[in-house]
Amino acid sequence: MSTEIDKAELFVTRLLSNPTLLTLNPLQKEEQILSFMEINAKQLLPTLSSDAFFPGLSWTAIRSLLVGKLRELIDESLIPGLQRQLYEKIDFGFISLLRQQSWPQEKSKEAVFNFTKKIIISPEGRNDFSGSYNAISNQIVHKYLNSIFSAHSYIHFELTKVQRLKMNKDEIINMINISLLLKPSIYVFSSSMNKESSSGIITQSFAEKVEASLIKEIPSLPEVLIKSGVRSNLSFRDHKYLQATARLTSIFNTMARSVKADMKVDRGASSPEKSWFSIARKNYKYFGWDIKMLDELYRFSAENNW
Amino acid sequence: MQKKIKSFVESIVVMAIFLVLIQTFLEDYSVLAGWSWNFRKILIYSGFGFDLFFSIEFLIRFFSALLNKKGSIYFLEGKGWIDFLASIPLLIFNSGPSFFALITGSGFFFGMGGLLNILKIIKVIRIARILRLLRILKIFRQIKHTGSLMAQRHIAKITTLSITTFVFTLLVFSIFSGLIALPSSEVKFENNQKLSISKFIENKDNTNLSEAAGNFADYESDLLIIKNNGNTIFSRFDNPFYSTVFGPGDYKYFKTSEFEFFFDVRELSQIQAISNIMFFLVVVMSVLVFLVYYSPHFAMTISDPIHVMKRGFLEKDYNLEVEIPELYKNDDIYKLGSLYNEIYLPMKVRETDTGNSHTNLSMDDFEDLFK
Repeated sequence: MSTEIDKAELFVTRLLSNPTLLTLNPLQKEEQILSFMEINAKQLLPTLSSDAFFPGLSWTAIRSLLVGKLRELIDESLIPGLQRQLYEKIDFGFISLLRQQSWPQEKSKEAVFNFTKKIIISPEGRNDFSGSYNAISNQIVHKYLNSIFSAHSYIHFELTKVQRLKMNKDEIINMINISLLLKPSIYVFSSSMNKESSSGIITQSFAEKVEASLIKEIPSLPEVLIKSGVRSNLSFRDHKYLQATARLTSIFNTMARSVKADMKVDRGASSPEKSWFSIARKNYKYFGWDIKMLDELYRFSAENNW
Repeated sequence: MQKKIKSFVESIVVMAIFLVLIQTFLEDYSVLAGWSWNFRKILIYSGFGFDLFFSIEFLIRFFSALLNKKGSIYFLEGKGWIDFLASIPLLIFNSGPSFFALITGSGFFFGMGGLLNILKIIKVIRIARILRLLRILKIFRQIKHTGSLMAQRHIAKITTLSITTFVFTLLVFSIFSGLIALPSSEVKFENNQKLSISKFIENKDNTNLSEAAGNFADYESDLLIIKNNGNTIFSRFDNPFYSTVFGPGDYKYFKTSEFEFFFDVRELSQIQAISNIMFFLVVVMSVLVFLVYYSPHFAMTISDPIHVMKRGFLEKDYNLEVEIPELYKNDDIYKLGSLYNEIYLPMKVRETDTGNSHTNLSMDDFEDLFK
């Protein structure tokens, strides 16, 4: 068995070392390799089931072995990366503005960190978490909130007047970042996803169940923050009172999952984020996004050539 | 190994093309600048060398194509006709005659005057020289000035069309003007000299031919030498000067029953050289404008949007929109780009979101996966 594990590790390491995957975050690499294995199963099976690799095993067993090892190797870089983001990039100080806080920041961070490790157990959770991880790593929220606060337009109004966040820009950034970490929490409580459609949208009742569970799971976080994270999985089309931070969380999570950092832009092509927002504006109903937010974010990306 | 050899040979050809363009320019510039005959001889020899090189290159390419039963494809589509016109006619009608005239006539200026006169075919040589301008087009086969094959082909085609039209118009006009003897400075010069010679013969003092020749030379500033029954009765310069400065094309020779006259035609040659340099610069500048201005413009307005859409169709993770400039938004290609942005990409993103597996990795990306 240990030989098989060693062989699995060697094979997966070779897959991971492909230069095409260099600029991707750990979860994106995993997604690419899983897709590669699925699409090329027929070509891989004859060699992988030979004496040189895993003789006598079916494709299901081989796949299970390889996927297990893949996740193990990915987690070796993912979890320390997550820890760095949580402890170095996110300040939990704003929580005291949302409610009276008796927990120290470190305790809150530890609770969120431990919970996030549960999220990445399930494949769906890992998939969704990839966007959140990227968004925080590449400081996407920071970038766009700067423009939002400079423009003082629709999104700024939604955050400060409608959602009534009595916080400064940096505090709102931290709030959205934690909201991003909590967005995939729905997969901890149900692997069947309980979604309305394949676009990642959930039902109101399911959202409420998840919120209730999460409040018990992480009591150090205020309810409004948990709701922001969980309800980012709802459709704005059906929930017109959805918090602005939840709407932004949904948009930034999906964008960060699709747009690669340092992508080389071909001559004649629009910049990656501008392209993404332009397409998102046409698909806003399908994904349940706020079209006015997308319009404004598109404008920022176009002005700055992001 | 074969690829390396081929690449090396192609590099030699490209270098030869650039060198021959410099040589072509210098051949006329040396006449204009009055460079010594020795240096101009080197240019003629090198011109012969290049014409021979390109003739051999053409023959090798053509016979190689014939062996592969692609002779007509090479000659027509592969621009083999440019290779032909810019080599063999030049070797036969231009550098070849000049080279052999030099080999047989050099160093014996006076004695070989009659033989050198064969260079009345200079007119044919001059007409054939125009074909050299076509050599610039050979560059397009060698230099990849853009990443798009379509752009490369299009720029090559439009440049070939323009330059070929210009060159053949010049060629036809030169032949036509020669056939119907249009008035030219050469014809006028020749008529003037003949008139002067006939006046000299009519009015000469037979008792003192040297003085008569001297007076004639004072009147005719282009006169170099007069001979009477093989003896030199007048020479404007000394022999070393003639050897250094004058080449076969730099003088004109007239013969009567007793006299031989040599006239200086360098000024005429310089006028012709100015025209040649002007044509050369027109062709070079045209090519540069096509390469430097039009090629990027074509790439920007045609190839680039196509490339973006092609990647979008082929790669599941490539979702960049085509950037549509306001100035060209009504161009067909940008209307297509607009449809691509508005309809295809949103649909593709929704389809990708259904959870179907997609990756840009393929088995070809892993050469040593099973080692």
